Amino acid sequence: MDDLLNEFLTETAESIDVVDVEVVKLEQDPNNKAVLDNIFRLVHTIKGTCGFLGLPRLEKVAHSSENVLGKFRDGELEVTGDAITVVLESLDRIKEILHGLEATEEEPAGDDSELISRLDAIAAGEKAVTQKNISEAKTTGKAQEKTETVEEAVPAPARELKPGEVSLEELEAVFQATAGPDADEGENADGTTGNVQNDLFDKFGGEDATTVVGHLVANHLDKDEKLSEFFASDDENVRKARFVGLLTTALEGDAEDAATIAASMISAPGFGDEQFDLLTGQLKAVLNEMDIEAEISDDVLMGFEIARAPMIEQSQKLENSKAEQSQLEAEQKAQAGTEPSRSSQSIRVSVDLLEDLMNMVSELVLTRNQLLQMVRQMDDSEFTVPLQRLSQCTTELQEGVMKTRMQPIGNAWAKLPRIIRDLSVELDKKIELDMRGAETELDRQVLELIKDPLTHMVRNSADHGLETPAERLAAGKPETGTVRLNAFHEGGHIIIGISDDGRGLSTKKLRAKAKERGLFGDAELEEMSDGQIHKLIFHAGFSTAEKVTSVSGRGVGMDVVRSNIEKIGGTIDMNSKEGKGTTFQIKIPLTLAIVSALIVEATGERFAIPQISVLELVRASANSEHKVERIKDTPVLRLRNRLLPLVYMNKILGLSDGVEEEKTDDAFIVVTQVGASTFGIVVDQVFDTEEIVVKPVAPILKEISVYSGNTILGDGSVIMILDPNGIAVKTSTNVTEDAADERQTKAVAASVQDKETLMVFLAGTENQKAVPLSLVARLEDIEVDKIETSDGQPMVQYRGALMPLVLVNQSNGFRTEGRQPVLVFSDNDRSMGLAVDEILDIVEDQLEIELSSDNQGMVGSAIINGKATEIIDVAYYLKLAYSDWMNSQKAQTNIKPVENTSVLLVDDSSFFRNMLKPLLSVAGYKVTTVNTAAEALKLRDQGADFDLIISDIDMPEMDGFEFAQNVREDGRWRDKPLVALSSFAGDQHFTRGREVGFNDYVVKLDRDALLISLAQQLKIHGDAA
Amino acid sequence: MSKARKESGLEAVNTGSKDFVTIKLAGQTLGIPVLAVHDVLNAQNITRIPLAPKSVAGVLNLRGRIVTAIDLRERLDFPPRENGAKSMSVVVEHKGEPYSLLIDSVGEVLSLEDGAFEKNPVTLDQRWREVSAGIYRLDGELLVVLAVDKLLDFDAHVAA
Repeated sequence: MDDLLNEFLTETAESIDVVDVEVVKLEQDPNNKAVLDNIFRLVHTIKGTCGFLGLPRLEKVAHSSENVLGKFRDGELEVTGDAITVVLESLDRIKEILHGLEATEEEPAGDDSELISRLDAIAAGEKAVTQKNISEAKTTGKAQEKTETVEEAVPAPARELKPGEVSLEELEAVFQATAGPDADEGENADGTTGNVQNDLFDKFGGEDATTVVGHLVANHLDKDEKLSEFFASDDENVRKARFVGLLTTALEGDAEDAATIAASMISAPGFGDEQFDLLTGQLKAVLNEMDIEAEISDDVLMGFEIARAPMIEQSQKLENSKAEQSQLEAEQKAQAGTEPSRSSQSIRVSVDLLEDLMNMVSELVLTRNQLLQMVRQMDDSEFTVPLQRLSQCTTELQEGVMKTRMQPIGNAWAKLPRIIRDLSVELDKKIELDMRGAETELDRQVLELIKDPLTHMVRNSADHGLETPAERLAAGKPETGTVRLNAFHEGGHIIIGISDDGRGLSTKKLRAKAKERGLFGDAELEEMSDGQIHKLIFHAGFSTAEKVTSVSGRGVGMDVVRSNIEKIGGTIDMNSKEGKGTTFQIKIPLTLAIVSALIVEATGERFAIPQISVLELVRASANSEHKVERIKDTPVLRLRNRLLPLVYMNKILGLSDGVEEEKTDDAFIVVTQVGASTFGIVVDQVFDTEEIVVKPVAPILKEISVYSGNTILGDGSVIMILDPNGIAVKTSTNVTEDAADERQTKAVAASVQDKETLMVFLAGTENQKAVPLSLVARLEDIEVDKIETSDGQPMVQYRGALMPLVLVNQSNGFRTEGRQPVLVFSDNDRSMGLAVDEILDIVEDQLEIELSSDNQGMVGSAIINGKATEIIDVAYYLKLAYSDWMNSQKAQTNIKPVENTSVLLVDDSSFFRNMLKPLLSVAGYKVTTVNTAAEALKLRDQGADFDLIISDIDMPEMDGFEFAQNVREDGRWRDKPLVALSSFAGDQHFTRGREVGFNDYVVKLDRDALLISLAQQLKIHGDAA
Repeated sequence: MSKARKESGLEAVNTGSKDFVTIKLAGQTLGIPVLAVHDVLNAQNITRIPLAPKSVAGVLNLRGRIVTAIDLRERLDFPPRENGAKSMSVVVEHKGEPYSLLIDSVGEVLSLEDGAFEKNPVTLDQRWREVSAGIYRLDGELLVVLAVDKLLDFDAHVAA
């Protein structure tokens, strides 16, 4: 591409980005002339360059928007939201054309006439109003006339380009001609207009005297409260310069210029004759102070009268044209200001070159490390000293190059004001964007990668987070919502906070949504803490906005944001309070290129773990306070009263078959944080930390999720860099989310208690099956040839009685030879054998029935030991064996209930609900189940009625005791029999249970006790009634 | 197969002769076009990569570059090298990534007449047919031309 065009594109793209931001700023602060001037200058430059490069389409659009901006600047147009919208539109069009240019090197074809006509309409629409003001002000000065010529020239299409330029240049010319005494002197010395007055100027004492007087008057003004307010808009030096200029022109008799300057000095309305007299008084006092001859003094005062009319007039029409002075001033700044010096101190360097440099420096660092390690092993090497120098230079070079890659995060935010502005218009919300720490620097590679996620999140906050003004007012909040961005450095990371003071996340809606999407079951959702529920928004396909706006909710959700952030080694955390707002916190490394890593060893192989994800190192041994404990085979570590799940590195990496790990209770544990969860990685050995340069792995290895890259260490060997995210995923999906919330809800201890001991076996199908061990009486191996059949039912003689055998899967026969494993379920003097294929294990696990089953004989499915497992319904098989099982039982214990006796079962564990419901149903009860006490109470309030209530004790939120108290206190269930069901079997529990109003207290899984208790309670109750 | 030949730069079949680096692998002689060979290395310190595909022997450091080492015996279905047996490697590049092919030994560079070239015999083992660009008849032995691109195109291999 043409170099010139290329440069134009880069520069213009940058300018446009700035203009974007500035225009939005302007809308909020329409009187900020500096901003307006900056915009005008940038657009003007774009237009000028387009003309030069021969880009007519771009030029026309730029010109029209410049026109409008020019009117803003001259104070002829009011800065309105509508006008700004159209100007922004024109900027978008310019961007569009630029994109086309970039792609094809030619201006894309297209018709902008509609946009241009709208811009022109805005420019012209206000003209009638402003025209009047102009004619009024005609006499006030040259500058005004100039703007008017601009004004009139605008509609003439043939001269479209010219007017803006003329205006700019001439305004400047006016300024230069009038403002500085230096310039004036030379010009007017040769001038013919004011010879007589020149005498006065000379008589008065020339430039020196005028300067002194001007300064003194300005000083006096500062002290005079009555006058200073009218001259407040300028800074001191400018004001002084103005006075000097006014005096000079006045004394020289240059009426026009004097009038211009005089008018430019007044900054507030209300300056009348009285004030001017005061000003003259000040001047007189100064002249007296300086011992000026009375005659000359009078002449000076007379000459000064020239300023009276323009000053007063200026003040009167100030509402319409208070722009002049600051405009001139800004003009001056723009022309003589910082721009040239800045450009001479910086150069443009292509990003590719920087990348190459960075790579080379990375290599250099690696080689340096290698050399250092080699020399360290030699005593007294002659290389030591030069190598130290080399090392130092390398470090400095590295830092220097890193710096060239650093950019303020504000660059990533540049587009946000515009986005927020558009959003506020589109959504009809009032939004304030508060950006803090925009100067915080980070690597440009990282910057590029977080740009989009950040934009998305800010959009989300504005769209989903903030309420409409009406809602906000109703909630007692200020009408304008705030989205706050905050960036700062912390350690080797940059922390970016995105917060809004909006409605916060609604856990209720999230729950409903999760259910609707089928992400989780009821039971799971109920057991989740608010924090966990909030984190659901990071799940794929989750958008909380009820309606999809054009802004967000297009399915690209927070899950993408999160994975993008995690991809660059960052973490994202969130905190939300319903009604108060939401805060996201992103933590990302400053640079991706060089990271600090911990070198560890497992089974003789070394690996690097990025330091960012390492929280701490723990040495565990059998005798120390930190020791590895096991729950069955699951290793955990007690760390500051929390259980830390452990994973063995050699096991994850397939380096050992998992047998030898048993002896490694003496271990190093790298406590790692992934997302908000922590877990420990057990390694054999920990070495030191090293600065490493992350290099991507070969394509063939990309699939292996546990590595994030590889690198060359100081000793020249290659080492793989572990990705804790990948390890967490590989270990189990549970670790990532749950561990953190376990920590939050301090539920670790409780969850251990909640564990069920289950017997896991195979029968029929490939899927493993399980049954609570407490239901199994014995395990037997029965010789196959002892199985007999009687009355069509397989039987075996067992302990002097016949025991029916039942197959779990009817289509699957008994074994044909050898021994048949059988689970024996016993009740009173009856037994039943359940024939299975193989008994696998006894597992202690938290039982979460994930899917309930419609299949007869199946309670549902759960994950046990990481495998899907079917939980069998013992009651069903009991019925198969003895059609009269339950009946016989009832007969024996005389507990057959009255028909249609209704029972309410309150239990948070879906397992028990699923186990007990069929059991009770079979026993003749009509069972209703709910999973929280709150739900039960809701049923009560809705008017539901039951003959008896069974409640679990250990439940989240409201436990059984509390529930019982609640029931007993009042309401329609006050007198209902209440039976407690609990895994706590201590005496104190029994006592407490009775105290709060339970009629009976039954230990879970003691089925008989439960049935008897139910019958007794019903009987007592019945008798009492 | 004609496509494979093109890819490995053998379209110049009729113009005379081609130069090959000969390598030995479990007694079989293989050839790699000399221009495709970047380096020949003696035994190197190779870092194992747990969980990696079997044919990846590990990674090694070649003058500051990280090179993926491919166990050619594994890749070509030969029995594994005996313990302590010497190995060498030939470094080639594929899609901008350097790979080091672990072999038993490297022989001389041969300039082979096009006349001695033959297509793969139709009976050739499928696994070999994928990676062989053709056969040269040498005195007393056959030289299989390795199609490096095919050899290292793991995606295609997996897909097949």
